[in-house]
Amino acid sequence: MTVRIRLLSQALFLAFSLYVFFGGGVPRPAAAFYHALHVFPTLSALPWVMLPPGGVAALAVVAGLLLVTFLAGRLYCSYLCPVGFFQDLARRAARALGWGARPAPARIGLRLGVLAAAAAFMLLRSSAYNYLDHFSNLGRVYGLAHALHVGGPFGWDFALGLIFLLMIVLLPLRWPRWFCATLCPSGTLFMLIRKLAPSGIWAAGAAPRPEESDSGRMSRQELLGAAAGAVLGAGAAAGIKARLLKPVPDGVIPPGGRAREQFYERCLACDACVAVCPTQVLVPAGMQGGLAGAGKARLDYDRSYCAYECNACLSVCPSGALSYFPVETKKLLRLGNAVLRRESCIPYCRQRDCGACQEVCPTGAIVMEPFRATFGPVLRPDYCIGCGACQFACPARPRKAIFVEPAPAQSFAFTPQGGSGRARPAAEGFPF
Amino acid sequence: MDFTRKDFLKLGASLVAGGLAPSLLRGASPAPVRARPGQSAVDLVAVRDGSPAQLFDAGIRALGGMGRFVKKGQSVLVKPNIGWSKTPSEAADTNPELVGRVVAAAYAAGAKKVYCFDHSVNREEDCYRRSGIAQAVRDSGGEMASGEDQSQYRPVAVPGAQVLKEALVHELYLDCDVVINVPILKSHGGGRMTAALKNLMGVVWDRRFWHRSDLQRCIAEFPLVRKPDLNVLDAYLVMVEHGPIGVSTEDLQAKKMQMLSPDMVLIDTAGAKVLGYDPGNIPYLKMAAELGIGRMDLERAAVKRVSLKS
Repeated sequence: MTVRIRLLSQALFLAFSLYVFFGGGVPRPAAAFYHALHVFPTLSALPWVMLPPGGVAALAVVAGLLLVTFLAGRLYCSYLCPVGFFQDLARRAARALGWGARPAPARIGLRLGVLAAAAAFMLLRSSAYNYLDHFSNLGRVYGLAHALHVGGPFGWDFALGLIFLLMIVLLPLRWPRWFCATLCPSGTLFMLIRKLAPSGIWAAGAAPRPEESDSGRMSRQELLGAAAGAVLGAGAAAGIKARLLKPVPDGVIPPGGRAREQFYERCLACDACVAVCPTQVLVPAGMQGGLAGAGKARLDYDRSYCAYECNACLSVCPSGALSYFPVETKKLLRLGNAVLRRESCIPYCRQRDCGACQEVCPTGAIVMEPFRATFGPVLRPDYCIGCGACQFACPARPRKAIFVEPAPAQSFAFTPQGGSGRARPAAEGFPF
Repeated sequence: MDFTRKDFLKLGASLVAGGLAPSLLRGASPAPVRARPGQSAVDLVAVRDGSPAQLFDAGIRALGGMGRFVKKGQSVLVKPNIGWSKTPSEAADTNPELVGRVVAAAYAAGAKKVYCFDHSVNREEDCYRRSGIAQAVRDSGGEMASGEDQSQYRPVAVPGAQVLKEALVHELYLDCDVVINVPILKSHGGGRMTAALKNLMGVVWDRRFWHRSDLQRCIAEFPLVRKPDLNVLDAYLVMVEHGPIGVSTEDLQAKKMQMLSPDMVLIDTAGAKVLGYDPGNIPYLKMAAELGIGRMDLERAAVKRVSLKS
């Protein structure tokens, strides 16, 4: 009976997580609640001592989660976590085939090392903990499906997602919940909390594997291993942050990302924004932005453009890397600046009408002015929001005549002004 | 077959150029011309001062009724402008009330099936929904087809074209028995104006080729593939500046007009005048007239003007 309830609960929560990840129109409170159940993205705003909107509520959910763990064991891991569910399903399949199981080896030093590294990255304002925590890695697994659906790109984060998928599907065939018991920083945190709980407290041990192995006091040897692991993990994180994670300028970052450095510090590369982007302009970057930018979303204007009436990506971002703005505000958010190359532009170099860029500009930042016998585009930079519609539409070959240069920091454009005050045709009666 | 058609077009072009077209194309008998069954003496109907649906009802009646264009059991394509993710009050897409009415009228005339689509510039789903057109078409019993699936486009030769010699064209535009073109009138940065001729850019796959090669020429040449049987030009709310997408409603002027004609060049000539342009300054109109797509001599055409003002 308990098993059935648990499976049902896990299945429902898996569906919920898929809905949040792929549902562009998911209600913000539902998404916020889902994100708050994941300690690492949720607490990542703490080093800024600036909580995202609804941050206090998110912290309350985290506190509640930790309290439940203290009182009743790792219920999150057993009843909710989709990563745990995938591992349980794999193990059930193996058992049906008659394959034996062994408990995952208790490598306490490794566990504490991973947890300390994740915590250190967080406190050092580096989002590199995303390589360690289960939330971001699960996002990359979902991202696999998205990339296959839209045909790529199959880059850095695709490889990481694939590795994680294999880890949570293949290893549990032999060692149940191997990831939970060996690497998961959230799992280790919960385990430590369980060890703090007085023995005999209500429901201790009621929650099933892998919690059983977490109960009981640590031996002196275990304590030493844990301490050594923690020091090594935190030290490694600090070194990596200082030496390898320098932001390199490249590409246009998603709306709400503020400035490149801030975006790199907070983005988890979880692919949630990539999956909800209706125009598919958001793609996970490769290594061109250095290790700090790898796998994080960028706007590819040769592939698509940022839709004017849309704020889907900043509605789903779990880490606060993308600040939320309502659509009307986001419409003014400047991601970059359009630059015109007259020497490639069809009206200027071939004296033929084109207007492909002006036609798609949502803010009137491109106007067509007379040029010889044709009309050529002229930029009005005050109104440009860097949405890339012009770059995407530009038919010039081999080089586009208009492209968006990323803004080092996002800002706001002027409110678009319709009507030019020019004389208008009479409104009354037919002019023919 | 191709050859004779080309010859015919050349003949038509020279006739238009010679200014002989109006009398010859309408037949030998001088005005007043009596409407034969299935024909009409009217070249263009212009209606004003009503809602888009009222304007259409009055206009199609003045043109001889929908039965003139749609016969029982035929398949019909209604091709509005649904290029933009904009609402009806922003007038970047054809008025949805009008599109719904055209679909209903086609069914009333006995159409077997009425389709509607556009190869939208913005994301199709957004355009179809926010324009209100998908809802209006479905409410009238029509079927929204997709324009963003390349497998539904077929390569066709454009007979007599100099620039647009081949195009990937949506199968519905090629296969439907009847095509009703329902553009909205707007200013246009690239084409200078958009109405009936420019609206057909939404039935081809590769628009960038047009922009890159010679936009005006491609717009003029495309109808050599096939001309719509009827054009209904929505000039209810007209984007007189910053077209075709518009910056704000400041760019719009409420004209409350509608034009109907089987001749796309003639209807665009009228549209140019509504926008306050000299039709002679729209390059593709002249080119299309020379190719025999239609006529620009609005002043000599039989125009029926209707006002619904009570």
